Amino acid sequence: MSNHELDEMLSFHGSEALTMGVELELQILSRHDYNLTRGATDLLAQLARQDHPGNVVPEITEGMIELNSSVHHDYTSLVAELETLRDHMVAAGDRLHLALAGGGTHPFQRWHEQRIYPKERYLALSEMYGYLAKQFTVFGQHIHIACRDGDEAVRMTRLVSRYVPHFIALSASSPYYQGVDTAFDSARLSAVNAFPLSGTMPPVYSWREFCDYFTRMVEYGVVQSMKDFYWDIRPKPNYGTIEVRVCDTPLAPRQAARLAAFAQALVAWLRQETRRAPHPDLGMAYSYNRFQACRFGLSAQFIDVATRSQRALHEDLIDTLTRLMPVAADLHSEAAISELLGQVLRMDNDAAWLRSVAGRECSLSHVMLRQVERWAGREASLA
Amino acid sequence: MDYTLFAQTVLLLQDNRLVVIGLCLISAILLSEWLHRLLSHLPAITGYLLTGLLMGPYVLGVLDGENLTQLSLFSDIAIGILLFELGRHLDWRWLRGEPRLVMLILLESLAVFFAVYLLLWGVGLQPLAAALLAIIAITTSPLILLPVLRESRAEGRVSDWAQVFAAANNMLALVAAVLLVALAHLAQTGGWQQALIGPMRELLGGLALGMLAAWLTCRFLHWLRAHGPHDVLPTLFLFGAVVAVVGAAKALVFSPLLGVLALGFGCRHIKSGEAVLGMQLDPLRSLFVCVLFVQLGASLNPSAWQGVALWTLLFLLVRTLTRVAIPYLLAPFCGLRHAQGGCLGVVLIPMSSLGLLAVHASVTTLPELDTQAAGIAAAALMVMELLGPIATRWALKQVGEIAEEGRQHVKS
Repeated sequence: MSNHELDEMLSFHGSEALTMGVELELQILSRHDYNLTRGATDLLAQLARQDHPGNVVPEITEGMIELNSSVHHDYTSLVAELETLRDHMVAAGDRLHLALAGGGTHPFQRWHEQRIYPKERYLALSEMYGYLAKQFTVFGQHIHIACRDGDEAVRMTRLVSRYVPHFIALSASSPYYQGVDTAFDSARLSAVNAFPLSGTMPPVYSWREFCDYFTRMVEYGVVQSMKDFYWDIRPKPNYGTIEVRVCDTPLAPRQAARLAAFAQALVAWLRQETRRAPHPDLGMAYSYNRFQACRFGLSAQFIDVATRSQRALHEDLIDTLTRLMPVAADLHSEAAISELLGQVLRMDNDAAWLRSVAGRECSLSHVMLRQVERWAGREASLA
Repeated sequence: MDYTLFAQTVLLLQDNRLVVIGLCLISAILLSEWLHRLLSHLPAITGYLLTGLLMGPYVLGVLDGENLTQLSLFSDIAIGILLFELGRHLDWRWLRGEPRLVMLILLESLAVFFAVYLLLWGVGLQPLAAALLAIIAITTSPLILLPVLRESRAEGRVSDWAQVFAAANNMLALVAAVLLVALAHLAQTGGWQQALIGPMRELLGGLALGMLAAWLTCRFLHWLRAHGPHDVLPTLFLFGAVVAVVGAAKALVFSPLLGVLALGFGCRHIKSGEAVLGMQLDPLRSLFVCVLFVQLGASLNPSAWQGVALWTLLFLLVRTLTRVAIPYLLAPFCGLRHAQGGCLGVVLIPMSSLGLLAVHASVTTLPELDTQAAGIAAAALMVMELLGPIATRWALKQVGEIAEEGRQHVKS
């Protein structure tokens, strides 16, 4: 890689406006048995024939597809776009006899039956990571929040990492994997953990330090682009954002927008807290907090390194969301934050919904069918 | 060389028919596995078919007519399972929203019918015989298509469409054949009631029986699901329903083929198919399909070619060219690439004898169906049963829909 290419890659395209965008990885399912099926190529070809907002791209296996929103200033426009894009994709799927669903994992797919999407990058990943590539058939939501510059991106990456368990618990929608209840609310992140470049950004404190770290990793031949880091939160210089990558894809687009609004309000609030610095002990509790959120969801325990105490995660979430209300009002996203608050007070997330459906339906195929209905917004009419 | 010992062994084995059948099945599995190791792209059913051919009355004679009669019970169940699955694949709501697919099925079926009819009529076959052969020509064998799709774990648009084509063209053929035979009888006897009532009773009876069975099955499975999770009970019940419909249809002289198709179709559509969602008959199907193809192989008569080789080749050539050309040419109008359309045509090549079987009793009473026409049908079916699975698998591979294709991508 030439110096020019490296400079280009590390050029941070920041913005003052606190914009946001989301990427959602979705499941492509056969209408026959609601198992994952290789439909990405046909779905992309079908969508290419019509105008739709945002962008739709392939993912690592052929039973996955990713939708990208455009850049948004507020929650309302994001919801509207995600739901419009959802409608386009569902209609395209209907024509192809395919169904689409959210959720962090498919409950009964067999990972070894998945097929790598025939694209150079994915084939290279498959060569590199072997079976991990197919096991990566899990579905996440990535949230982009704009930062002013690289220094702010590094600071936010570190500060927001305290709230990683909060995002995990709110979005958790992957209790079932390979046909069994994993006892986790989010089993998806276990698949991500297996990758050597997963986890958190190393302890760098400025954009200069980050660039130095990245350059050395390129020189060592470990990475070729920022995409090779599978960190929970990573700076994305070409978008001028930080990217929060820990959320499971929710079961409905509106929840995805709520989570993005939460991230936006959080960054806005942290921007105001100019004297707030990442706690030096944050890394000590990070893995434990993350595990607790994956395993127990909203019922998790949370170590607050600032107070050196352990408390219920939902209590910290209630405090956090309440604290964000004034900022959210400025961002016109108070509806999203209060809906999330209501969700926490009810101790309700998508994983809980899936378990209740599974208890009622007695079959994971039927759970998947309900997920499809929920994603398509057809739940009420078919219930 | 003294063959006495061999002959004595054969006689001994023929006295114990279960041993013979068991040994044939084991041979089928071993030969299929050996062929698969030799030619990895050869479908398993081709191995079963060759074993049947080898063991059948026309070659080694290990399986005689009595054995084949016994095997036919298992074969009927296999056909029932396969047609039930085909019926389950017919999604009426999808077809309503995809008129391009319906148009393509109709155009392709009509094109094949007229191309074959004109050829055979042109070479001097009686119009009725030519029409019956043309009707057989429009069918795709679900007995070949479904096992090949399942074995190769094919997924994609061509695989999806092929199943709908097979279901639709078999139903079209069935109805057309029944009507044609009725018309022929009408011309002979002059009494339309006698000519029509029998065939219509057969068709509508099968349809009604299948739909009634579907309703009862769905009701029971829904009740079962409401009372907690069950492991194998729902699947066994579904299997029982398929077998019962085949048996009841035969007893009532209804069309068993239409009965199980209707059962599958009904189960797919009653309350959006929720009662049978996630239920797979895969292990049972694999067992019965093995028996079915051993029996089909044993029934193949290599001498069927005598005297009809040229006409059979022409018949197959015209049918294949039309079958491939229409989807290839119309592919862009249906949202497919030309290559996908062409491959769809090749996937549909295996020809089905089900349409003929369904009206077998009526057909044999028609003097117009001369020996030449019957010979062409038998010879063509033999070729299709031997080469059809290979062609289908080859086309699925070309279009990148079989699972091995994915592994090749990883290696490349």
